[in-house]
Amino acid sequence: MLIKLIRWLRGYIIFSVSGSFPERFINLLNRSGITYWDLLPDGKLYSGRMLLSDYMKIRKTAKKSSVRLRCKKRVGFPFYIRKYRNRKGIAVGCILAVIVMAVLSQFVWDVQIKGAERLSISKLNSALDECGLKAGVLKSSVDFESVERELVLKVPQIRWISINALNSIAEIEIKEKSVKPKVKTEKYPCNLKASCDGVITKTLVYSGTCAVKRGSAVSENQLLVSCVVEGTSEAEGNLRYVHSNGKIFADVIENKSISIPLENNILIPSKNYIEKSTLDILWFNIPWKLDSSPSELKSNVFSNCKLVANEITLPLGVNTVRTYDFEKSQKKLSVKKAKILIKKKACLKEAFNYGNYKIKSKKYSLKELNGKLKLNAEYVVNKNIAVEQRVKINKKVE
Amino acid sequence: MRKKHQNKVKSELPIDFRYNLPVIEFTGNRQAMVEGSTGVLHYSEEAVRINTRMSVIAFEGRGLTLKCISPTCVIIEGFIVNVEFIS
Repeated sequence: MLIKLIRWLRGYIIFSVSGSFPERFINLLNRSGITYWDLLPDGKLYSGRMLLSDYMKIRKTAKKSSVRLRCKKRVGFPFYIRKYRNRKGIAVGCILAVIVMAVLSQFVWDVQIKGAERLSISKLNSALDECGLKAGVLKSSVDFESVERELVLKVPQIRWISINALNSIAEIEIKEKSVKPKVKTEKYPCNLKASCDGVITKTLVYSGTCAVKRGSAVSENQLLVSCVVEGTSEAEGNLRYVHSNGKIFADVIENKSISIPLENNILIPSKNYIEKSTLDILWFNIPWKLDSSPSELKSNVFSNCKLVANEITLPLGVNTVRTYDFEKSQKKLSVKKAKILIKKKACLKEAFNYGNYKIKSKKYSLKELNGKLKLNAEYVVNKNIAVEQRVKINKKVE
Repeated sequence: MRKKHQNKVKSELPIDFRYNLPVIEFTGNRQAMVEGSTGVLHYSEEAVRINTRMSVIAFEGRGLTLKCISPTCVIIEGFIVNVEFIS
C-alpha cells in the first residue's frame, strides 16, 4: 500500500514495448538499474509500468535495442496536478489552508473541565485565566505543570488535577476534596431555652438535663435543657456543667402578614432591542454591529454561540449582547387576581420559612385596605424552639 | 603442492559456488526462482528462457509471468509444466 502510494506520488507510466528483440531491452534495463513492474507479455508486445523519472532515461536504451517504446497511460500526482496548472487559486488555497491549520494548531482552542461536581465551572475558568490558561493562548507559552500547581493553591477544594493538551484542546481533569462533616467542638457551658411559646411534642437531648416533658406548655425564654449534670465519678464531684445540646420540638403559633398593592408601577421590556455582536476568532473580538444604549432602564442578555464540529469547539464563534429597553407602565390588579397572587406569595414564603418544619394547620384571612390587599396567615408549626444561652461560671469546666 | 591444496579447498566449497552454477528454487510448480541469471532470452506466456553462465534454462507452461527481474535473479510465476536445460 505504501509502495503504491509512493509510486502514485512520484507518478508512473504504463508503457508498451514492441520490436524484434524486446528481451534485450529488458536485460539492458536490468543492467542499468531501472526499476519497472507488472511486465506482462501481450501478444508480440510487452506492457509494464515504470516511474516517470526512469522513463525519461530509457530513450537511449530503447534506441540501442531497436524497440519501439510507447506510453499508454500516465498515472500519478504529477499528472493529476498538471490538469489544474492554470488554476493557481486552488494551489494557493491549499497552501494557505495548510499554513492556517499549522498556525492554528499551535493555539489552545478550548478549555474543557471534567470532574467538577461541587466546584463552579465559571470560577475554575477564571482561576485558570489567572494562571494563564485560556482559549486562544499559544500552547508552547503555557507550562501545564505549573498551571496545575497554581490552580491547586488557588482552589483549595481541588484534591487532584491533571491537564492534558489533546491537539488544540486543554482537557482538565479534576478530583474534588470530600467535604469534612461539621463537628461541634464548643465546650462552654450553656442552657437551652425556648425561643417562643409553644407545646412540647418531641425532645431530643444529646447532652444536658432535660427540664421539660412532652405535652407541657412552655413560654418564651423558659429553660428547656439545663447544663447542670450530676457527676458520675468522685473526681468529677456531685455536679458538673456541660454544653447542652439537643432539639426540642414544639407546636408554635405564628402570625405572618403579606400585602400587595392593587395598583402597580411595573417595568415592561419593550419589543425594541439593540444588538451588539462580535465575531470571536481565537483571542480576537471583531465587532460587526455597534450601537449606543437606548436608556437607563435596560437589561442585557448575553449569548455566546461557538462553532462545534465533531464535539470539538472550534475557535470561531459569535458573542451577542442584546439590550432591551424598559417602559414604565401602571397596571391595575383585579381583586380576584390579587387574591391568587397573594396566595402564591404566601405559599412561596412558607416554603422558604418552614421548609424544614411541619405546618400542622394554617388559616388565611384577606382584607382590602387603602388600595392594598392584605393577607394575615396563622400557622401552627412544629419546629425546634431550643436556642443556646451561655452560662457564666467561675469554675473550670471539663 | 600448492595446486593440491587449492583443489582441496575447492572440494570443500558448495557445488554451485565451485562450478558457478545457477541456483533454481521451486515452489511447487507455481513459482521458480533462478539465481545467477545473465539475462532473459525469451519471454511469453507459454515459455520463458533464462540465460545463465552454464546453460540456457527454458521454462514451459501456461500464464507465465516475470514477477521480479534483477541483474542476477529472476522470479517466474505461473503454471510451470516443463523445465529444460539447453547447453
